Amino acid sequence: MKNFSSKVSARRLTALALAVVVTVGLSTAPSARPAFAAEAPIGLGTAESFAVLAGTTVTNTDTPTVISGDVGVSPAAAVTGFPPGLVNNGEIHSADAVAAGAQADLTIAFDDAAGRLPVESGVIDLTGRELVSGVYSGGALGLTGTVTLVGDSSSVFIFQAASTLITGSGSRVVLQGDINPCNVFWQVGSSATLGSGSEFVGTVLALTSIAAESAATVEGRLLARNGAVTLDANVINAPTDCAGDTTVVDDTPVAPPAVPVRGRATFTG
Amino acid sequence: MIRGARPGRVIAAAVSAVLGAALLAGCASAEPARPTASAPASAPGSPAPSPSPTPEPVGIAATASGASVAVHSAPDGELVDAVASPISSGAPLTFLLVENRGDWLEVALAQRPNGSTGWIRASEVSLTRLDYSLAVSTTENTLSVFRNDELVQTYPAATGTGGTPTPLGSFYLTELLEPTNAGYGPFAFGLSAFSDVLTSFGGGPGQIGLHGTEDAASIGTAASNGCIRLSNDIITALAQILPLGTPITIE
Repeated sequence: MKNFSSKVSARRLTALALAVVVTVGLSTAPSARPAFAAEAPIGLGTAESFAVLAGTTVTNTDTPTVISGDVGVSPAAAVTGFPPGLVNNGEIHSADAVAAGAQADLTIAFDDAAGRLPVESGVIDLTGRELVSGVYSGGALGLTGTVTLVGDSSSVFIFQAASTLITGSGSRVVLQGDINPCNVFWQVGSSATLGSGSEFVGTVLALTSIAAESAATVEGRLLARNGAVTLDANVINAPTDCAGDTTVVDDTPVAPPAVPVRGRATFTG
Repeated sequence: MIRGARPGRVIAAAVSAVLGAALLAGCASAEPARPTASAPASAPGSPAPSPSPTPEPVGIAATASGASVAVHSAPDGELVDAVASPISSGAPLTFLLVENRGDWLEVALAQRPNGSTGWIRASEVSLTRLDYSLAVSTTENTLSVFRNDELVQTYPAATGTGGTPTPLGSFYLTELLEPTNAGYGPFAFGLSAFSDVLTSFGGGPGQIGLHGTEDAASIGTAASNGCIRLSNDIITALAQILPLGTPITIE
C-alpha cells in the first residue's frame, strides 16, 4: 500500500474523471448525427481485456495459436486446446465472475454498436473499398480482398452485419493513417468467419459464433455472446490502452444517499 | 483533483435560516451544465469524446458485495488485509476508486497513514458514480458542496484548532451515523482521514468526522479537535443527499 493523497488530489481523480467522461461520452452519444460526423467508439467495459470470449466453448485445434489478452467462456466453461495454444498477457477465465461480467458488458457493447446510425447502408462487399470514419451497415458482409480504412487516431469505424461476416482467404483489413485498432468494431448479427491467412483488424462482437480459420491474424478481439469461438493457428492481439479503460462505463448507477446507522460516535469532535 | 475545490472557485454564499431547504431545493432542480473549463482533453491516441448529456462523475464509489474485501499490495500482489463489511459502525464497507485496471481496482483506504491505497478485485465490489464532492477550507472555516463540479453552496464550518488541526488532503466519506451520544448533532459522517495529533479519541482511533454540534457558536471558527462541524440543519440536509464514498478535500 502507498500514500495517495497528493496524486489523488492533483492527478488521479482527474484521470479517473477523464476516463469516465470519455466512457460516458461514448455510451451516451446521440444516435442520430450527420453523415461522417465524428463517431464515438464502443465502450467494452470489462470485455476490453479479453482477446477471445465465448458463450459456449473456446476451441483451439491442435495448433500453436498465440493470444495476447484474456480468454474467457461464460456461461459455459469449456476451453480446449491450451496448450498447445498460448495465452500471453492475460488469463483464462472459465465460467467465473470475470467472464460473466465481460459477457454482460459485451451485451451492452453489442447493443450499442447495433444501435448506431449508419452513414452507408446496404453494404455487401467491402473488397476494394476505401472507407473513412463512420458506421457501415449491411446484411451479410463480405471481404474477399482488401478493404482500406483511412483516417487518424480519432477515427472510428463500426461495421454492422445483420447476419454474417465472412472474410475470404488472404483478405486484409488495412489501416491507412494513424488509426487506432481499438476503434474498429464489427457487430455481427449471427456468426463471423475469418478466412485462412487473412489479416483482420478490429473487435468482432458476434451474437453467435466466430471462427478464425487457419493462420488468420487478428489485431483486435473475437467476442461471441452465445456461441463458440474456434481457433486454428492464429495470432490474436487485443489492443491495449484503448479509450474507456474502465469497468464503470455506460450504466454505472448513481450512488444512493448514505443510510444512517444509529450508534455511538467516536470521531474527534 | 476535485476541480470545484480550487479556492478561486469557492464563492461565498449567503447563509439563510433555510439553508437546508435551499440546498435540497437546489438539488432537485435540473442538472447544471457541465463546466466547459473542466472538460479534459482526450488522451493521446484516443478519440475525442462526443458531447454527452451525462455529467462526468466526480468519483466512483466501490461498495463491498460480500462480507469482506481482500486488500492487496498490487494487482495479483501480496494480500495485506481483509476488511470486513459492514465496518465496525455498521455501515457498508465503501472505498473511493483511485484507478481502474479492469479486474483490479486501486482504492483509497480509511486507515493510517492518511492517503493509503490498496488494490482490490473488481469482482468483490459494486461501483456507483458520485456526483457530489466537498471541499473544506481550514483557513476560511467553510465547507463547500459541489454537484458535478458546480458549486451548490458554501457553509460556515468549524475546523481544528492549532493544537489539533484538521488533517489536509483528499479523503472520502466512509459512514453516516445517527449518534446516540452527545456532541455530534443529529448526524455524523466518518471520513477516511485520521488526526495527525490524536491517535485515539473517545474510544475511537482518532478518526475525523463531519457532523453537527450542540456548540453553535463554534461554527465558523477554528474550534474543534480536528473534526468538521456544521450547523445541525445543514448536516441534516447533507445527510439526505450525500452517498458514502463522496470525495472531500481539506485544504
